[in-house]
Amino acid sequence: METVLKLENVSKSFGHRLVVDQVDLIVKQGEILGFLGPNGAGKTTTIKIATGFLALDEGDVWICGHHLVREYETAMHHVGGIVENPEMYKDLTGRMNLRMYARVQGGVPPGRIDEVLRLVGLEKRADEKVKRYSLGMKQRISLAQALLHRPKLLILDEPTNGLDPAGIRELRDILKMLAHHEGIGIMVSSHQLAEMQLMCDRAAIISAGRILGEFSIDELANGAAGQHHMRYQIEPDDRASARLLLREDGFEFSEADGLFDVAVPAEARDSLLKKLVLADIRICSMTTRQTSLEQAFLEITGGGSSID
Amino acid sequence: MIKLIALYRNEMTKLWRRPVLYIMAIILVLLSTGISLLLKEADRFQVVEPRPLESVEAEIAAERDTYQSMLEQAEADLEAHEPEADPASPTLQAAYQRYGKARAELHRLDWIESHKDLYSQMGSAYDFLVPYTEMKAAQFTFERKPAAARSIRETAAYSVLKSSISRYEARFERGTLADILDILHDLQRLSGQDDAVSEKVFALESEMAASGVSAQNIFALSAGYRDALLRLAGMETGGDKNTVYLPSERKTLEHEVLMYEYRGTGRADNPIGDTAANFYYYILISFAAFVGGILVIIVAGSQISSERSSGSIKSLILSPVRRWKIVTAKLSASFTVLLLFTLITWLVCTLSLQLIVGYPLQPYLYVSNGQVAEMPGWIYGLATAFLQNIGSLFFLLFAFMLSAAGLSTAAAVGISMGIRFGAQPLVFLLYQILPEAVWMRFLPFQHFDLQHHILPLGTSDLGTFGGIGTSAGPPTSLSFSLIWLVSLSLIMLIAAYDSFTRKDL
Repeated sequence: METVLKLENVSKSFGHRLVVDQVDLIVKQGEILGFLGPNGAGKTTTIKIATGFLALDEGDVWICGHHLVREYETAMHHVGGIVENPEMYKDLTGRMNLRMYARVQGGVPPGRIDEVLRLVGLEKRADEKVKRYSLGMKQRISLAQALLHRPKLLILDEPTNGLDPAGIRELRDILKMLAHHEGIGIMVSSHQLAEMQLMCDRAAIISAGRILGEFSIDELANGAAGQHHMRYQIEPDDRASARLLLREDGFEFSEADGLFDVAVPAEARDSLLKKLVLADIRICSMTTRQTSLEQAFLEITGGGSSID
Repeated sequence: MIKLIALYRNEMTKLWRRPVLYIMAIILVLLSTGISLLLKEADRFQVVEPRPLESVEAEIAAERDTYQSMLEQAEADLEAHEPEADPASPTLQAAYQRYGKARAELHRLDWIESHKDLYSQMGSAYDFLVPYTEMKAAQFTFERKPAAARSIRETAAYSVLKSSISRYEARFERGTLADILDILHDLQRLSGQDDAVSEKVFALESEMAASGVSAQNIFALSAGYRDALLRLAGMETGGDKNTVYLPSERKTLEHEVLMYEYRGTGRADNPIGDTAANFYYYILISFAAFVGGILVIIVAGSQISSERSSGSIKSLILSPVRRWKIVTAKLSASFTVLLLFTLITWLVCTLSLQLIVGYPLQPYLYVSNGQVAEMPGWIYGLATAFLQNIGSLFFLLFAFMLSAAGLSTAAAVGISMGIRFGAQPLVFLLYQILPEAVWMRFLPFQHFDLQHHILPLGTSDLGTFGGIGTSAGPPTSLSFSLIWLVSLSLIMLIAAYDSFTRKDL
């Protein structure tokens, strides 16, 4: 699949403060990349570098194979984005805003404005001035603008801000449709981790300006290292043998009141159960402890900062 | 280029929705109307109207009564005393004098009566009648005396007097303007105004009279002409030894003389008539340019900063255009506002001059290759509108630069307005204190007035207003002003482009 965004060794400092430190990042066609990190980690700075707001100190950015600095206009033609809050010309109508944006993009067919307005559900309010819009509506009109010229890369900074739950679901459906059916590569930063879990195919985690890693959503959900967290409740009489067996087989576990929490590599889950049963260890109950993205995130970033 | 045009159209779309444009246009119309009304008031004192004939008639009637009774009294005295008194007695001599005086004055009044139109236009030039009336009084006195009462001295003087009177009598009785001017010039020569300057003035006056110009116009124009000739003559003879004359000043004066001559002969239909119209227009435009100056500072000073503070600049940055194009489009939009406002200013000021003050713009006279040429009034008006907006153009760039460099709208507009309308008068004040300071020459303010280099109004353009004060600040040449203004503008442009294209947003 084509790479639509590639950040290579990108660094940026403000004064002496290094805010983005040798970041490498890739967004591919048709995928939604969640971009996560605690406050001040460099998320918005990275997004602003990728959208031409900030000049980078070091490194290269390619959009659909075009170098962002050397082929600025060609590269930016493939980008649609919302950076920080959605802002438009408040004294103009939503439609007028889109028309002006289309003018500068060039080559936007006349019917496209209605098409994107329908897509974001604003066709009925498009002729009102933007200053009368709610935050959610501004978010929608910004998304419509970002999609106007059929970009191959969509960069959205906290797009669920100000949306009600129905709006969030709708946005998720739109983004999934765009990625999976129209093949747009989407990079989304958000503090709504649950949202990201439902929306993204992959997540990159940034902390203190450095990318800590890239994970598939399944990997994140199941633990950072692909481990399943199993919890077995063992009959009191069999607990000693269970302890012995787990130690012999080298599993990491903790025990409290007969509840054994064991980290099991995905492929060893079934065999461990079999061993326990064959050793006549009586299991009262067994649960797979689902790791939330938040837990995973805290594990990866060291849990020092809360995500936002 | 297509993207640049698209950006420019977007900028104009945004600008059309800004109320400040319409507010300033309304202020412009109101201001121009107000100043026109004031100018109309001032103009009442400027126009030389002929005296109303009724007032002339009333004056004649009153004087006639006085002199008629004086004559009757004198005749009665003479009748009573002449038979017995010694002809040389003082009483009788006084009676002869009064008789002669009364006859001469009545003769003068008869003349005025039959030349009322001319007399009503002559103003103080009417004084020419005084020496003539005195001669006539002496003539009547002498002729009334019996031979015995005439002294030898009087008889001798009478023959001289008779020939003097005969020099004027025919022309006086005919009484056309040309005749009267002849008499006037002759009397002025006799009174010592027989120099080259006077001869030039006399020649122009006679030429104007021959082509049918009214007396009041002749005298109004020739006063300025004489003044210009005298100043030029003063310059030629070295004048005041403390005054240093620049070659350009001399040239200006020479041109002024040519223009007076041209007005007197070439534009005989309306030699001074509405000449102050262009001066009124100039005043109107300078006030209007003040309004335009405020407008462009507000527009240019907010173009980038207001988008930054509202966040809408993000739409621009996310567009696939390089930043220099954004700057160019915004700057072009500001220029467009200034251009349109200048045209509106021209239109509004021309209309209020015509409709309120009551004058159309007059052809502008200038000298080219030693010949006076005319520029149509509307072109002069348009050119003046542009020249008076050079300061606005400069501060457009200044405010835009501040806005591009990251200052807030309030700061960019405030600083620009402060300097334009606050520091400028301060500099002029400083110039009064430190006229020798070299650094004064490098302040931009005194270079804005390119009009006085390119399309100056001479004294012949001012009707009877006299001179306009030259611009405050050290004298500068056109080329220095232009080079310096262009250099400063380039610096501001580079600063604006550089700071916006390199700025992190």
